[in-house]
Amino acid sequence: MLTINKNVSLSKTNAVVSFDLGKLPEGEYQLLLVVDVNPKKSTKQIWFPNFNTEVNTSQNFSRTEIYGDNGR
Amino acid sequence: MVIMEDKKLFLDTNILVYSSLTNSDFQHIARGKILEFATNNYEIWISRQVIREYLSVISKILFTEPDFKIDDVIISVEKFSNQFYIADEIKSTSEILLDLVKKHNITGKNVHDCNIVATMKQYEINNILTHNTKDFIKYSPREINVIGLL
Repeated sequence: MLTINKNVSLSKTNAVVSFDLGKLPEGEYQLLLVVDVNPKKSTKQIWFPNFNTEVNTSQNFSRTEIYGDNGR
Repeated sequence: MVIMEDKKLFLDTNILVYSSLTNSDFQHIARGKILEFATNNYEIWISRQVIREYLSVISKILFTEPDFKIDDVIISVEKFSNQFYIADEIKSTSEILLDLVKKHNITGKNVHDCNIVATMKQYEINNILTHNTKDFIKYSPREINVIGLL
């Protein structure tokens, strides 16, 4: 069994991934590809929305308020 | 501020809300804290529960504004979802939740906070940034590390 751990960048225009298996002897092989479906994210630049409100909204949003008195 | 060196940070719903509101006293500090962790190579995480709660809170706040458009809120959720790691709840998350409920004797609405902790443990996220530290203090430091906004 050979394990290759490789980070790749996929985009709409480049979704092809290559592996160098040149060290293996010639022959027929079965490749089993396991992909972490939660892609790594670049968080160096973070986007935030700018929602304007007429009043200051610095109230405390605890889940007690979010779910109301009936717990929903 | 004591940070466990696992390089993962979970954003509580209130942090996302504050970071989105231009007329909030906490907007700049919320954004600053998130950027500070991101600059220090932390993975920034939210969960499906946080997304639902954000939708609920933001739409409720903005609903009475004259230029309110639900599409703007939806776009903000989509962009947050694209740039942050998303913790999905799976079967074992519910099992962790039940363990925590039993262990900490959690009842009523506190279950919702407990589910955040369960989701964090599912994904081995130790740090939560929140403005509601009192809601999570019972879990700290044994289960998670609670980082206050202020």
